[in-house]
Amino acid sequence: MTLAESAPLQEPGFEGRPARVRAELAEEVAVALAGSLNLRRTVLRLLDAVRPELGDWAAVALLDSRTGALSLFGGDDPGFTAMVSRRAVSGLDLERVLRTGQTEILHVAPETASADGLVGLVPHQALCEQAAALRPVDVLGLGLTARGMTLGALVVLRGQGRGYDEDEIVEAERLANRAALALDSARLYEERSRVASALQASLLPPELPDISGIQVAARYRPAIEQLDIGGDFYDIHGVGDDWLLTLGDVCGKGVDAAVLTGRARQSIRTAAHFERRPSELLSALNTVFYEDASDRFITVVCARLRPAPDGESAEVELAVGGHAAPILLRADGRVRQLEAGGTVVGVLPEAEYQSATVRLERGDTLLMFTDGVEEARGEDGFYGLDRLLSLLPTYAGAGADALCGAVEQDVVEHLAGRPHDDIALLAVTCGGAVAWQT
Amino acid sequence: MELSVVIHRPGAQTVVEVHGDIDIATAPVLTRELKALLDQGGHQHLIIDLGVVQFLDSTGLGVLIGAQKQAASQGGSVVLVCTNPRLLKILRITRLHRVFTIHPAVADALAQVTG
Repeated sequence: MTLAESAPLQEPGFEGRPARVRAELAEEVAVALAGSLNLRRTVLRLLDAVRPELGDWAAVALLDSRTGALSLFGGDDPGFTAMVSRRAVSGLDLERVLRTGQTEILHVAPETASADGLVGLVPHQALCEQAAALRPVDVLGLGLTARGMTLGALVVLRGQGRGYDEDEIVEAERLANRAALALDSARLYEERSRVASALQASLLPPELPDISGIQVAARYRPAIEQLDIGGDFYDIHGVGDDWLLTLGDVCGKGVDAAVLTGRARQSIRTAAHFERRPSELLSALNTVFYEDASDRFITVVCARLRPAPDGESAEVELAVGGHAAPILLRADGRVRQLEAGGTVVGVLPEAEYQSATVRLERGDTLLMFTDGVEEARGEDGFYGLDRLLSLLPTYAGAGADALCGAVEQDVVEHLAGRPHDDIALLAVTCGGAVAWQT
Repeated sequence: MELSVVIHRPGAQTVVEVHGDIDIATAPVLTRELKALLDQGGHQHLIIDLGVVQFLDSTGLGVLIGAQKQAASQGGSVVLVCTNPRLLKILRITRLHRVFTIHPAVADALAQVTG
């Protein structure tokens, strides 16, 4: 059957439906798809928008640019999806559409209107059977092409022996082009999101390891909470009885800062393979970041923790680069900020750092924190170091996790919903929690 | 919070008087002003007056450090004027009081730089 022979007819029983594809339909479809950046939702809206004017039945095939596989959507069941391999459509009309972006028309002779005749554009048995049941005379395969790339095909057909004329095919192609732009945007957005999540996952704070005889805890509240990453960081790595803890802050917030924290963490990890002394590690980090020649810098605490085999004590050697020194909370409630200091990392061509040492006994906790704690601005001003120091004795002996939780809660209450800088806490308690009563 | 700067040239030095908090929101303004001065040439000896600044966060420190690096590359320097105990504490913790010379008043900074 040729195109001319399949000129559409207004059949009895279809009076209520538009007989032809209006020129406005392409615009209406574009508007319907404009709001969505979710690829699947965009496809479903497209299927919805083209029926019944462009077809009584519609399906979309989308190419996965990485695997070459085809995702099929549509048909009678709105939730239907299926995957078929590129090889499965090899040599079929649909493959030609995907390769060339050109429209393919499958004419179906009425006497052979079985599922077999439609498989060229509908390469899935269940879909094919639905389509065949409508007894179509024409099946249109429209390329969905955007930015010079065919990302899929829209397949439509009409029931009851009604086909498409040439003017309608021109309108259908126009519609497909508009739809392809929306699908392309949604796909691009999904890909970007996927890339962003993968990068973000690599920048998230690490899981805390189990260290024999030591309880470790941390908290992390980025300034931009939806982002989960920010300018504060902590890390803890090592084996057996030799661990390195770092906590720091790079200037800035958000993604740019997070990228730098990732580099800082990784630089320290790498350097730690060759050098375990915190003061030397910070010198190396300083040199690396100074050579960066940006106005970025890092404040950081680096502590080497060596638990005794009996779990009753641990030696801590630490160095501080322009950061608030850690707080030592003894099991009996005595609390003090350690005396340690050094230049911020990445500002001077060469910087030397002093080591300080402290011995943790059972129940003692060492708390590292970033300036987001002190600088949390509440109704009555900054949270401040004094408030932190006066909070802690209550939690003497409670263990690192309870202590971090208490500090976080107190700071959050102080903020009372106000915006804040990144906040990070990292605490270690020797011997874990000891008998502690509220 | 707004940030604005007033620039004086009492002599060979350039005094940049900063008004407002220097934080993530306002830092780009200060960066732009300082960079414009340093790019112009002839302003490599900068006195940054933080006398009325109440808040300076790590982004703000980054701005000062960026200016210092650029000034140093032109054979100049950045001198700070600051008396706010909070700011002085931050500069002390970060040890930036050893990177920048810090004076309590603009007059002292001018005397030192010219002297």
